[in-house]
Amino acid sequence: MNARLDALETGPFDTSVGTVILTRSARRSEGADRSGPDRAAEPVVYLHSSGGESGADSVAPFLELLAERFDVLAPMFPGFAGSGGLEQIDDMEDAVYHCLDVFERLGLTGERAPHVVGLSIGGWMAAEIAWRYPDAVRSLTLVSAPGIYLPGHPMSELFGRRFDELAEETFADQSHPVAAMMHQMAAMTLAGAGAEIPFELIRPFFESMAAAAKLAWNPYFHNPKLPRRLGRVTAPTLVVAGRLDGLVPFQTSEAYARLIAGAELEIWDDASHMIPLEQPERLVARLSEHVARASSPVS
Amino acid sequence: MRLFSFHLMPYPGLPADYDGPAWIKCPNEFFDPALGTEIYNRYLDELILADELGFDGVCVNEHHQNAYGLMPSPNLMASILARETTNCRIAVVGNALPLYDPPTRVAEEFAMIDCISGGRLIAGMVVGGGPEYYSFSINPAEARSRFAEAHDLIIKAWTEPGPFEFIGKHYRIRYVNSWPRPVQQPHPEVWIPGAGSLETLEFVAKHRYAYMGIPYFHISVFERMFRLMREACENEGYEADPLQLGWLVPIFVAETDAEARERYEEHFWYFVKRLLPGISISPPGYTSVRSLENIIKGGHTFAEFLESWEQVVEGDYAIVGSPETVLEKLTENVERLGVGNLLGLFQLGTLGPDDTRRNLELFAAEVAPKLRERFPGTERRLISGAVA
Repeated sequence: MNARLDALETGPFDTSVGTVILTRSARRSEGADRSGPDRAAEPVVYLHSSGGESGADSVAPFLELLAERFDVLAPMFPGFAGSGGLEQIDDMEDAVYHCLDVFERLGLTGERAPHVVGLSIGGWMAAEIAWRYPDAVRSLTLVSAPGIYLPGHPMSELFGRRFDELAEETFADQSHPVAAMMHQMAAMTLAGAGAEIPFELIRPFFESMAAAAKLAWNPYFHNPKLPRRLGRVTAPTLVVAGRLDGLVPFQTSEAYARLIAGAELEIWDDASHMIPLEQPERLVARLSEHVARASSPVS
Repeated sequence: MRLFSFHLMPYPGLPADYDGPAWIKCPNEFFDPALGTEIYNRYLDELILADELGFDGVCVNEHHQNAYGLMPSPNLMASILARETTNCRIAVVGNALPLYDPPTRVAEEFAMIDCISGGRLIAGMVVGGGPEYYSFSINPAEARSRFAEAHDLIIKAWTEPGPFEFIGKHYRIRYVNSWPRPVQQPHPEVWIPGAGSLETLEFVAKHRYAYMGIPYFHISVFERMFRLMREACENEGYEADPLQLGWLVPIFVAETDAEARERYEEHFWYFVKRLLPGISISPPGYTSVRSLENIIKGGHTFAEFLESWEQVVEGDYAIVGSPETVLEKLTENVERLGVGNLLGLFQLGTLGPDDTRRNLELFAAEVAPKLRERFPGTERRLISGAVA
C-alpha cells in the first residue's frame, strides 16, 4: 500500500556529499505512473534530527503516510548514520548550502520548490534556509526545533548523555520501541556490559552525534543572529512542539511563531520531542493540511 | 631506561558525602583556597625532591575544571620547576593544543621554559581530555584537526626562520616570529599522551615522537596499545625505539608488602572512586569511529570499575609493595611492554606528604638503582621530528 522505504533510490546524486533517499508517492510505486515525475504530487522534503533517522524503521511510518499524498524526499545529511561528506561541512552555513545543492539536484527549484519539514536540528536547518532564500521553500514546518537561545529556557544537554536520560527527555511514551531500546542500552552500560552492545547498533548514533556537533556544539544549538533574521521568512510556516519536550523547551517554538510573520503555532500537551516517531498520523494530518493550503492551485 | 616522577596534583578535600563526578560539573565551592596554598607548595616540593633523589625527570600535565588534577596551567608549574630543580628533565605532558588560540602561545611558553631550565624541557602535546571540550566549549568534532594544525604551527615556529605567514583552516597568523627560541635544537623532545586512539598512534609514529600510555587500565590494555604503537612505527618503515614508549603507573613502596597495602589502599580508592568519575566522557567526534570501537573493547577494564584490591594487583593498576616486590613487578612489566620511560605516580589521591616522601626515598634508594642496572641507557635522548 504505502511507498516502501527499502525500494528507495540513491539516484544520480553525489553520494559523497550525503546519501539521498527518495520515497515515491504511493500511486507511482503501485505502478499507476512510472514515467517520469508526477507533477500532481507536491514535493515534501524531510530534514532529520540529530539522530539521523531518515533511513531508519523508526520514522518509516511517518514518511510512508506522508508519501500517500506527496512526493517525499528525505535526504541523509553528510556525516549522519554513515553517510560521507562531513569533511565538507564546518557549520550551519555549509549545511544550508548543502541543502540547496540537494534541492537543485532533485529538481526542487522554482515551481517545484519543496515544502520543507524539519525535526529538531532539521527544523532549525529549514529555518536557516528559509530566511536566506525565501523562494527556495514553498512552505515551512518546524517540529521541536532549536535554533533560538531563550534565557530562562535553555536547551538541555544532548551530547554525552546517558541513553535512558535522553529517552526520558525526548519520548512521551517510554515503551515506544526506540525509547525502550535506549533504556536497555543504558542498563547494559551501567552494568559494565557496554562492550556487549553490538557496535553496529550504536555506530550510527555516534556518527550522527559527531555530525551534529559540527553544526551545534558552540553556539550550542542556536544562531545568535537568527531572531533578527526570521523576519525575512516568507514561506507559510507551521510550528509544532510538545509540551513534554525535555530537550528543546516548547517556548523555543513559541519564539519561532512570534518571529515568523503569520506563523501558526501548535503546542501539543501530550507530545514530547520525537513527534514524527510517536504521533505520525496526527502530524501527517496537520502537515498535509498545511502543505495543501500552501500549495499552488493544481491545474 | 629513564625514570620520571609524575604528579597529578589532585584535590584531596572532596566532601565525604559527595558522590558526583570530579569533572565538568564538580562544584567549585568544594575548593578550599587555604588548602590550595598548602597542597600546591607541597606538591611542588615533592617534584623538587624527585630531582634531588636523582630521577631523570619530573612530569606535570594539564587539566581544567576538575578535582582530579589542579594544573590548568602546567607551564606555570614547569616554570617554577625550571628554577627549583637542577638536573632533571621537565616534562609537560602536555599542553592541550586546541585550548590555546593562537597556539603560538605554546611555542613561546615552552621556549621560555627551555631557556630558563637550560634545555631540560620535554614538550608534551595533547589533544586534551574529553571533559575539556565541555569546559571550554571547543568543538570536539574539530579536536583532531585543530591539534594537527596547531602542532604543525608550533614545530614550524621553532624550526623555520621568522617572520613567516601561517594560513591554516583553524589558525591564520600573518606574522609568526616566535621569541624566544628553544635551547634544544631543532626543538625539544616531543611526547604525546594517548589512551589508544589509532589516529594518535599513527601521528606519533609518523613524527618519531614518544607515546605515553594513559594509565588506569588493565596491564593487557597497555600491552596491546604498545604493540599497536610498534606496528605503527613499522608501517612508517622503522623499528620503535624504547624511548618512544612511556608507561605511566601509580607506584608505592614501603618496608613490606603488608605495610605498603595498609598505608596505600584507601588513598588509591579515593583516587579511583572519587577523582576518576567523569574523566572518560567522550564528546561527539572527539574520537573516530574506528578508534571508538577499539576503546570500547578495553573500556570495561577502566580502573573506575575496580571493586577489589585483588583486581588491582592482578591487573597491575598500581605497583605496590616492598622494594623487592616493586622491583620484580616493574622489571617484569617493563620487559613485557618494552618501554624506555617509566613514569611513576608516587603521590595519588589523598596520599599524604610523609608517605609520599618516604615512597620517593625508598624507590630512589632501593628500586631505581637496580632498574637502571637492568635497563641501561639513561643518558640517551630522543631526537624526534627531525626525520619526519
